[in-house]
Amino acid sequence: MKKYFVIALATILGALVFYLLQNSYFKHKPILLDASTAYDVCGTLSIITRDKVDLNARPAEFSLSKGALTQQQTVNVCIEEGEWSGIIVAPRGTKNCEIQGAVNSSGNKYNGPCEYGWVPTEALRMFAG
Amino acid sequence: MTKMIVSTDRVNVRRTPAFSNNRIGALNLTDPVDVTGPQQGDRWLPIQASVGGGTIDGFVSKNVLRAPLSDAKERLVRECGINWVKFNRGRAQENVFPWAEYVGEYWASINMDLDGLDRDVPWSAAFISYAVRRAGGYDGFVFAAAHARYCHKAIRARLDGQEHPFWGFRINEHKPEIGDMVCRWRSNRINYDFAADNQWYKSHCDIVVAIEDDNVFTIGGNVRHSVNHTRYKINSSGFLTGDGNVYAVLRNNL
Repeated sequence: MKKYFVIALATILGALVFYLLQNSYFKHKPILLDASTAYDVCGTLSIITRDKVDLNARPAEFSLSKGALTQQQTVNVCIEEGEWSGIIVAPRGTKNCEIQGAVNSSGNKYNGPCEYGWVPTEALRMFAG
Repeated sequence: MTKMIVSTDRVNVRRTPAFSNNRIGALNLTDPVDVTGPQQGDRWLPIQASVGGGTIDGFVSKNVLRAPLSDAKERLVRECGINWVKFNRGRAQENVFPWAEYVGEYWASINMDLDGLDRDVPWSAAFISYAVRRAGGYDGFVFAAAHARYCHKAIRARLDGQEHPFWGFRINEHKPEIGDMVCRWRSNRINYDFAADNQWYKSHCDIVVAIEDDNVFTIGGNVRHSVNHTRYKINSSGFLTGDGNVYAVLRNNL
């Protein structure tokens, strides 16, 4: 009996993992920066307007969360995709996320020291740019 | 004496009214000069100007001078010219001393506690606010860290017939003039009507400082990480061609 239970549980877990993989739950979508511009590659600072918002790994509700952002937190908005914004978040006290440097070294894919991910655009309010 | 304004950059002041080895100084774009006498030869005007803290008398070609506009417009373009030269004509970079301190001054003009070393904070609208505030007399201007704020206000003022230092026009409605602003969208295409209804969108505006042939020259902040110039094409009728994602021209009403 116990053996059948283990098999059933393993099957369910396997199906769940398969489902999550199929739906790209764990996939990360990088923040691609526009290096062709004469202006800052991100160019917009916004603040979070919700009490709490997940920093998703990709621009979708069904996504791995990389952390949570809180109201009034400042973020660089670099790219928009549908109703989602690709952002870079400087931890408090960090003056330089090396966004320009990332462009120069990695062909537009952000790989600097700050956290990055996706949030709903409606959770942002622009204040500089 | 008649006051005139230098309309191009690096203008030679000569000891005698002729092209020869007689250069005694150089003038920058937007520098004022006093014309001290009648034209000599085919182009030479005797002038007196401030150069390097002193005053020099010499001759300059009339082709590189223009008549002054209103005081308010001249004060605004002068601020642009001064800051452009301070940034070594766009060669100095934003995050290096002393230029970072200048960026800090731009932020201070809108009461934001940033020191210029915050590299990822876009400061182009802060530069515009700084230049307008320093120029003085632009009552009602929306000093802000986002271009969209004052651009929206200028468009609304025009559409509603309100008195305001700038009125926003479509690019086929107003020929850009010195002292105006040229506004372009960034990343997400927007148009004049969108800007009339919204004040939060990504954009960039520069101030027109010179018009030559079929080009409008502007100066703005955070352009190639400096205070720098941009060139926009105009057509044979004097309107912007629309290249460069331009969606509005803000006419300087002062």
